[in-house]
Amino acid sequence: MTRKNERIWNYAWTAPVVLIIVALLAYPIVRTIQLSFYEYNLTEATQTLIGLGGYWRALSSEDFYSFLYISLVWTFGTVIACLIIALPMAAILNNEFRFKWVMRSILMLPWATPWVIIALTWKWMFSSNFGMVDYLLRAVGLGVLIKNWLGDPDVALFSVMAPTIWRGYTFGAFMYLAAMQTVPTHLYEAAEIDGAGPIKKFFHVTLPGILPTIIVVNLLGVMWTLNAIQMIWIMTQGGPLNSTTTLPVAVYKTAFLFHRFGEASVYGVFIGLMLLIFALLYIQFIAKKGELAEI
Amino acid sequence: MKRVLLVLGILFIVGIFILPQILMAAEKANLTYWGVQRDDKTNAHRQAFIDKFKAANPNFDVEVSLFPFTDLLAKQVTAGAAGTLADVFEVPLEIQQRAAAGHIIPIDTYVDKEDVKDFLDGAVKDATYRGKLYGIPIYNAGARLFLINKDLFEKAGMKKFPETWSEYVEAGKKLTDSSQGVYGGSFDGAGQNTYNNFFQYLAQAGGSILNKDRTKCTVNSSEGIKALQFWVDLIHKHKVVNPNTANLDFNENVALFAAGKIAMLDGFARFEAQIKQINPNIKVGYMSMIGDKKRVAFGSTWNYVIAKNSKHPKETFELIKVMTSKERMLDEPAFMPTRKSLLNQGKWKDIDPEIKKNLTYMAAFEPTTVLSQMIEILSNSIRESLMLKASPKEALDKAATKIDAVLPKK
Repeated sequence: MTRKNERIWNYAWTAPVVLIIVALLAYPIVRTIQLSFYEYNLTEATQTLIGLGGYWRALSSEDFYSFLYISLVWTFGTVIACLIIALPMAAILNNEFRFKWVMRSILMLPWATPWVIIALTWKWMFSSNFGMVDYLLRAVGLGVLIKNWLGDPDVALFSVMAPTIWRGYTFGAFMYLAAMQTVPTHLYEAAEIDGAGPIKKFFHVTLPGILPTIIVVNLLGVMWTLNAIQMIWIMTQGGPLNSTTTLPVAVYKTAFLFHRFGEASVYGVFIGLMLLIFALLYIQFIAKKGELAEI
Repeated sequence: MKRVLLVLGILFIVGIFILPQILMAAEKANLTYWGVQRDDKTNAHRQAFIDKFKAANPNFDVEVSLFPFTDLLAKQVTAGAAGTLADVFEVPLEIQQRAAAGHIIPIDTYVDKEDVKDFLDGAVKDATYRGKLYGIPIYNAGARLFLINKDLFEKAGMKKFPETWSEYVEAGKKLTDSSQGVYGGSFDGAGQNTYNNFFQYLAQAGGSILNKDRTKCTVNSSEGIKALQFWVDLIHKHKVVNPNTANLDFNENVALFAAGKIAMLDGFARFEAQIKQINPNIKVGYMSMIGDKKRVAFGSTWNYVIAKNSKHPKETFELIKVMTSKERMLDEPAFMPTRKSLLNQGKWKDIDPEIKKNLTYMAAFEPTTVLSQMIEILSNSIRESLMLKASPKEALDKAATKIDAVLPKK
């Protein structure tokens, strides 16, 4: 088969998949951007072209900045907390000890549990009337720490982040564990000869060795967490008083509760731009990694 | 041979056009029905009448889909925009939004005008948009009242029901035992019902959410501030409702009532079925809604409507006739009849006198095409005040400004 024919066959085989992806991804993206230039209210069946008016309205509204701030706290707070817990956990699991396989299996459980189950269970645990968290705090004499976990606007966001971190860190832990196992053992031997203890070995050998994995996992984590609304929606629905309303939650509410599709599309475009920045960083990083590998 | 071929050719062409018609006529036409997922008895009772329609109309099949309340409302809006609504669906006060958006058709040409007179006047008014009737009322949710825990009332020696706000506070104090987590009163500080719950206290004080033209929000009037201050005081001054009331929706209040932690539950009579499912041993009674300047109890009805995209509007209306028949309403498990003639018949003749008395206080808020947004805005402002993050005046001024911004300009 000639090179030209081979290329034609390649295009022919991949064309159906590409067309489906274009239809499922490109059309909604283009339509969302188009709708963002309109005032489109489904309940009044009106669609009026307002150009950049929707963007100007968003940028001059207090609510938008509130949603943006909450989105950033939610995203980076969750990702950083997952990193802080996952790294030491991976380091511990990288050692040899009895029943290591039991620990690894238990660690997998939060990741394997459906989001809905986790959200409902934690919602019940945080309940002010029937919840286990308050009961346990009282039982150990720490009743003074009791808060209205899901009802206090100052605390609710962190209450929703807790189960998200509980579930999310396990993915990072396993990725870091896998990366740790690729770090050449002679580097650890050399460090030992130089008198390095476990902590110095971790910071000077392990961490530099798994840095690319850390970057990839956290970039993906940022993109996934920013988009995630399931935990928030089930536990607080963006309340109390919009204190857990991130931009994606605002999109959902504006579109499907208030039926203002134009306004929701504007928020959607902003989310898309934020994700695009992280996606470009990710692609840049992967490309550089590829170049280094070739060298 | 040529003649044979000609005859066969003609038969073939005729067959292409006639055979599909014959086949289509033999197939059943499909009507789609969307409703709210309710308790088992109500669902079964509804299905029985759908089956009755099917038996009487063998050429029609009815495909039923049931949804949770908020999911059904959201689905109606998006399906309406897409032109994929069910032929017939249940809709409450949002019927005005559906009519304004052009998603449903007027049914004046189908209804028997004499039969319409049998329906509750307020319900027919709520189903009318710009002079045209768009729906037939089906479920009368009744008017909000208080479900009472008879044992707690007996324990407190309560002989008389409170009728005014101050009597309610006094009764609440007698019934409250905060050391046991038992509170005399309740209201829905969170969730979908905060709006209608607050509406009645606002109306009791003599206020309204919108002006007569529905062009301006009047919730921040002195009456509105008084009503919200009353709610704030119930939590923080008189302490006769759960201190976490700002975060309790009706499901949580029902659960607390069933657990014996609320003596007077502000809700609907139909909640008794849900309460008895949680705690079959609880003794439930009824108490009419209280008042300030006047006694007002929020009440509304659900309606059956016909989608604009329905291919069988006439047959759909026949289904609606069966579903809104006197026979169905007489035995409806959880909802009161929307027909005036039935309010004193069958089991409705023997309903609790407090429920009947309470119906005379029934009123609904002004329906608008931006109801969902108004509910969100006002509920958030109310909660802000209940959590002492804003005074009632500040909270309601903020709500009024935001609501004015979304009200349709006439």
